[in-house]
Formats: sequence, structure tokens, C-alpha cells
Amino acid sequence: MSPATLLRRLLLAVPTMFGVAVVVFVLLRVVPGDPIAMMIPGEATPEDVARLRESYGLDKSILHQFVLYLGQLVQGDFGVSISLKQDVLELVLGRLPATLELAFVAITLSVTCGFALALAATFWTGSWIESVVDGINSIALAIPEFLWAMLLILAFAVLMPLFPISGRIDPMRATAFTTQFYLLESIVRGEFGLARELLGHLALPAISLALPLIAVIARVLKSSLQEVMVQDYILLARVKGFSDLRILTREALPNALLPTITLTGVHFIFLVGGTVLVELIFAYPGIGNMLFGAASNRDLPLIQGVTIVFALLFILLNIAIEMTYALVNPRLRR
Amino acid sequence: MSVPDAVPILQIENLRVAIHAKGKRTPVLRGVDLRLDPGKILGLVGESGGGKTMVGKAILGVLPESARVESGAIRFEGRDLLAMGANGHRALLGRSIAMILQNPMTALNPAFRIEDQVTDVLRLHAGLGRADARARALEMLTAVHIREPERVLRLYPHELSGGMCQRVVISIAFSCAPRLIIADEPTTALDVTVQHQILRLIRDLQRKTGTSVLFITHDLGVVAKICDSVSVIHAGRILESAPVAQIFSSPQHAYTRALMNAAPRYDRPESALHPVSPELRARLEREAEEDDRRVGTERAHA
Amino acid sequence: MPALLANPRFAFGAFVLLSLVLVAAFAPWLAPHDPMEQSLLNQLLPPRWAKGGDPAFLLGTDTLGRDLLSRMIYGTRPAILVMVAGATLSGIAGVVLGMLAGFFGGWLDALVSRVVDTFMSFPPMLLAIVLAAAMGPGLTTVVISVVLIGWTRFCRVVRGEVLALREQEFVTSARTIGVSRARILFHELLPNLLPLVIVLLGLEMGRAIVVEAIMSFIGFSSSGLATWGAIIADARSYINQAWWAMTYPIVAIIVAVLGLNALGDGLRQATDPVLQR
Repeated sequence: MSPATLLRRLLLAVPTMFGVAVVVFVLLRVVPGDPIAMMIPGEATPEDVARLRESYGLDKSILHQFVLYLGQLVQGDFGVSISLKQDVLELVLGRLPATLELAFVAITLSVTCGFALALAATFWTGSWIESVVDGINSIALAIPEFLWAMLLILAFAVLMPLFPISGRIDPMRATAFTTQFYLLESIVRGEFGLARELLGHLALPAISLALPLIAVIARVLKSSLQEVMVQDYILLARVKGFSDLRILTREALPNALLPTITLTGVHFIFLVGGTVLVELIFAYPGIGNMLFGAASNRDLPLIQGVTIVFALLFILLNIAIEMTYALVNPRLRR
Repeated sequence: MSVPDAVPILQIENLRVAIHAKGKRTPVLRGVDLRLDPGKILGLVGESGGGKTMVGKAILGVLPESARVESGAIRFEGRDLLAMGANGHRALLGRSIAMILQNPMTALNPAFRIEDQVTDVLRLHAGLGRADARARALEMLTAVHIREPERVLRLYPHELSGGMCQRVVISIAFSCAPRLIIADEPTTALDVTVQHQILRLIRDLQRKTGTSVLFITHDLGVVAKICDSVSVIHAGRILESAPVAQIFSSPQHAYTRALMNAAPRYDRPESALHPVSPELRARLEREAEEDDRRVGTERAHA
Repeated sequence: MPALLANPRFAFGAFVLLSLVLVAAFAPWLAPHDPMEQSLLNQLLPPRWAKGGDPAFLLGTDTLGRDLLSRMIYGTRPAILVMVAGATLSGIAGVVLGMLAGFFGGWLDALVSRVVDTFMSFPPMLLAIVLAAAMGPGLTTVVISVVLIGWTRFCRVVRGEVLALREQEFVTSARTIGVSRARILFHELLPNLLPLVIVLLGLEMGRAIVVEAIMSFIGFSSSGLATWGAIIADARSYINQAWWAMTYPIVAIIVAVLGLNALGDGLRQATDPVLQR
């Protein structure tokens, strides 16, 4: 994809981001419930309340607030969190790496398992292996992430305590890191024991997130592969004398990738969206988890901040998917 | 004329193939006999659905999943391909036996450049390294009269015309100097002017390399142009086999005659078109069914 | 119609749906105990067939001594409510907007498409949570969440269908005769869309149940009410002492979702002329 197209894509994202900002703003303000009231200790005077309200800009008219809000957003000022008393942007960026690592591990897991299942089902098409893969897919697709998370908790908390079911790492060990990218840092520094522990905590949340995507990828890729395998050029490859394995992986797979990317792209976005719930269930300290606290406290600036960051993530992910598509498609490469 | 006791490069004896699907057995090849001598071009002629493509696929070992070889032998240089086992069979593909497909636009893998697709066979069978394979690929492309072969190597199949794709496919087929090439309707999907060029190309290459060719087609005109001998197939049965001159001057079987009459005469555009008569068809169908019945009772008593 | 009943998926789905509705309707008669009744004597009892189980509490009790079977039975009520209300409203909103956008095109279509894109830029649960933060917990909030999350699905699909149908002869001929556009929308297009919409409804109902479960799990649904999500949430806290408590609602939700998906699948198979071979 040329830089010009990339730029155009990013610019097109602006109106969508604007829409997101509007929706969040509206949702939070057109509703009953006074965040200031929730923060005030009982003995505060009305003047204190008014002053607090003023400092958050909540005393102005809705339209005025909106304009202020937009202005601040554009400058990168997301305001200060009402409940945590810190700069929203800092808070969000502080927790973002955790969510990114979780999403990354989940996506990697999805792609490798999905591909493996699809390739196996196609290579041994018509056998019991394909039936098993189809069965796994149907079940994985039908059960939403939330329930998978519950099932995993049941399995690993009670039946087989193999993985921890909450948190990211033992809080004591957290101080050993300089960045918030714990997993990345531990690998780069070669501390594999630490990395393994981190992965242990990531395992269950990542699996919960990955299962639906694995099923989607496996199903779509298998169907794509089977369509490709009956094409003339595969016949020619066979006549050239290549082994079945090579034909599947070298000749067929690249052709099956394109429709697969188109059809599964949106599910990657769902996966990232699913981190919101999964982080809560497994008490994993990412931005999804932070959203819940913010929601319980009616912390408007923080809710806004997290929502906008998520929207941005989705848009970037969308662009990444389009770029991958353009890269794989030889017709678009020149 | 071929020496009577020379070993044919390809000899098919009483080949019976049937499709087994949904509990039904549908015969496709009913005791096919074919003989192709070394260095010759045999034309296998018949209408669509007559079984000619199946013969090609049986030789190459790429019959569909549901197809079963019930009896017969396919001898390539004396060795029965059907008795060889999948691995033995596959070892011959590409190196000793090659194929030219009907639709050139779909015969090439859209995801790879021409260079990859022409050199991969060379690297697999001839063990050539990248540079050597590339050099040989350039030679091959030149041999099939592709101008600017360096440029073409860098292209993707969707950037080539039908005729150029077919030339590439032909060059792939000839590249490892195979002793037998199965050409399945190689000119059917091309423009008429290009057809002529491709036919000439195949014949020239065949003469230069001494490769034997099984030329599958429904077009008698093509057969007349390049084949040395002809076998006529209908409903999975070989109705007549003869050297090309003989087939055209004195066709023996009614169906052969009907095929020749059915071809439009460009020099006599006002003459009527004569499709194969319904009576002839009915007779041939009956003969096929009798054959099925006979085979059925043989199998039952076996 | 008979073909529909013979379809195994539809039959399974219909059975599940019917069972849910019946259990919900007759809950007061089916449940052996009051779902809210606490009993400190009977805390954390295992199910009847396990050691220490009490025949009065078939599935055991939770940490407050409440009968799990009764809570499960009463849990069907909010589930059905959210399912039906949520999916229906979601469907109406999505279908109407989709039809308008697809039929009239132009700026209306552009606007609706922008709105759809915006909504789809939110992680679904995020919308629900933000809404709950604003509106406070309660079943109404849950239903509105379901609608906000689900309408885009209906809208996109219906819009696509209408775009395709719009060009077909029966529409253009109606226009030439001078049939008003409103009539075309309702009398010509809508009947053609119904099979598709019904299928989507089935799937949406399955999703609605999950949303409800999640919302009550988080605590944003009606507090205290016996919903399956609440049972899961409670059970999570004492999972090491009474792991069975969590399995009942999980299994129930899985069966409900599978059943509703099967219903949708069965409907689609029965009504899709291409698949009818």
C-alpha cells in the first residue's frame, strides 16, 4: 500500500473518531447520575461542591462542554480522572501495554492454531481428522468468550490448577521492569523464567480470547483451501511431480490466504474488543479492566479516554488488515 | 510407418475406469486400448464426455477421488503404471511424463511469478541451483518464441495473454525433457490465430526433442495438422485406431465418418451442418450398455 | 412448514426455546423453593446425588443457603425477557434503518453507514458498560445495551439485501406503475426480507442471553434478582468450595445459545432456496 493510500485511510478515520467522541460524550451526559456527588465526603459545603464542579468544567452548558471537550481532545488533553485523580492519558497509556501484550499473544495463538487446524483438515480431507476439526470449530464458535473464560476457570482453578486465574504477575516481581511491556522486556533481557511466569498468567485470558477466532480462521481457511485445491494450477503442480505436502503449503496456501483475510479481518477486531470483559474476569490489569472501575465510579474523563483509545486501536487494526491484504495480493502489489 | 516390433512408449490395454459415487457405479472408460510409438504424436479424438480427458488423467495418476481403475494396464516404456504404487508413479511425473492443460489462464498459479513456476520443476528434477535454473528458464522461454523473456520472468500470470500463458505452460512441460507429454486440448481455449501458432510450436518442439505426445482433442482439423496416428473414442470405447492419412482417406467406423461430416466446411459455407445422427448415437449407446452388462456378469462370476 | 419441522437443527432449537419459555412461565410452580430465601443452616450444600446432599435441594445451595435449582428456574425469566425484548427492538431498529438506507440511498445511506461504522468501532461490551455507568444497573439498561450492540448487524445485512432487491424487476415495475415508495417498502420489500430477518432474530436472541449474563456477572443488571449471570458471579467467589454451582448456569447458557443458533441455522436452511436441493 502506498504512503498516499495509507494517509488517506488515516484521514478517513477522523470522522469515525469524531463520531465515537460524540457518542461517548452524549451517552455520558444525557443521563442521570452526578459524578461529583459520588466523590464528595458528606461534610463538604455547597461552595466546595460548586468549586469542584467548576474545576471539571461540569458547570457549563452542554454545548460549551462539548466544544471544550473537542478542543482538548485534539490537543491530546484527555482531562483528569475524577476517581483516580491523575491525568487520563497517562493512566491509559500506562495500562495499554498490558492489553496490547494480551491481544498480541491471543492473536498469535489464534493464527497458529487456526492455520494448523485448517491445514490438517485439508491435508486429510474426508477422514476422521477433518470431522474432528469441524466439530471443534462448531463448538468453539457457538460458545462466546465469556463462557469459555468461565469454563477455563472451572477447569484450571478446580480440576487442574495448571495456570493462575488472575492477575498479570506477582506484584513483588513487577518492580523489576522499566517499561510496561513486561513480556517483551523479559524476553529482550533474556530472563526466560520471568517470561514463562508472565505467559502462565496470560494463558487463560489469551485462550478465552483466541478460541472463537481460532474457529473462524480454521473454518474459513479450510473452505478456501478446499476451493483452491480443485484448481487447474494445483493439478499442474501435481503433474510436475511435487509432493502433496508441498502442494498444500506452497502452491495452495498463498492463494487461500486472500479470501481468508477478507472474511476473518473483522474478527480480529472483535478479539481486541473482547479484552474488556476477559480482563475483568481474570483480573488482568489492562485498559479493559480499568474501564470497569471507571464505569462504577461514573468517572467520565476516564471512560472517555479508554473508549477513544479503543476506537483508535480498532481503526489501526483495520488499516493493518487492509495493508496485509494488499501485500498478499499480487495484483495490488505493483 | 513404425517398425512392428518396436516397444511402444505408451501402451494401454483394456483399461476400465468407473466412477463410484452415492452407491452407483458409472463406467467412464470401457476397455480402452491405445498405442503410442516413440517419437510420434497420437491424436485421441472424441466429443466432450467421451472419456478422453479421463485417459489422460489415468496415465498421470490424477484421477478424481471417486474414480476407480477396475482392470487393465497402462504400460509406459513397458512398465505398468497402475501396478507401480503412488510413489513410483509420482517419481515419473514431471521428469518423464508431463502435461499441457486446456485453459492456460488457470493453469498457472496466480500467486507466483513466471520465473518461480518455470524454474521450480528444473530445481526439483534436474537439481539445478537458482542461477542455472534461471538461465535454463530463459532458454526455454526463448524456445517457445516468447520475446523479452527476462521481462516475462518477472511477471505474474494475470499480466500475460492467453497465448503467452500457454507458451509458458508448454515450456514447463518440455523443460525436463520428458519422454511423454499428455496435451489435453491445448488450443481449445485460444483464439484461432494463436491456435495455429501453438500447434506449430508443439510440433516443432516435438520434432526437435523426439518426445512422444498424446494429443487429446475434439477438433479433427487439429488432428489432421499434427498427428501421426489417431484413435477415436466414444462413451469410453475406442471405436477406431489408424494412421492419420488412413483415417481421413478411408474411415472405417460410422462414427468416425460422422465426425468428419459434422465438421463445418469453411470452403463450402453454404453446405448444411451434419451432426451425428440420432440412430448412430442410439446404436453406440446400446453397444456401450451391452459391454457394461457383459462386464457386470463377468464381475459377478469372478 | 413440514420441511421446517423435519430439519433437525430447527427442531432442536425450537425445543430449547419452547422449554425456556415454558419454564419461565411456570417458574412459580416448578421451583421447589423461593429463589431469594436464604438459610444459614443449608449453606453450600452439594447436589442431591453427592455426599452430604439434601433431597430438598436438588442442585445444592449457594453461600447464602439459597436453592440453586429454584434460582436457575427463575433465572429463565430475565433471560427470556431480555432475549425477546432485546432482539425484537434491535431487529426493528436495524431493519427500519437498513431499509431506509438501502432504498433511498444518497445522503441518508451515507449518514446511516457512518453511524453504523461508529457503533462498530466500539467493543460491544464497552457500549454496554458505558451505558450502564450512565443509566445505572437494571434490566432496562440491559435491554437497551442489547439493542445498541445488535442493531448494526440487522442494519448492515438488510441494507445489503435492499440494495440488491431494489434493482430487481418487481420493484422497478412497481415504481413505473406509480406505487408509492412507502407501499413498495412495506408490501414488496419487507416480505422478501422477512426470512432473512427471522434467521437473524434467532441468532440475536442467543447473543442477547449472553449479554444479559455478562451484565449481571459484572453487576450491572438488576441486583438481587436471580439471573444466570448473577449465579455465575456468586459462584466464582466460592469456586473452591462449591465448584458445581458455576456449572449449572454455564451449561444452561451454552445450551440456550446452541439451541438458538440451531434455530437460526435451521430456519436459514429451510428458507434458503439455494440450499433446498
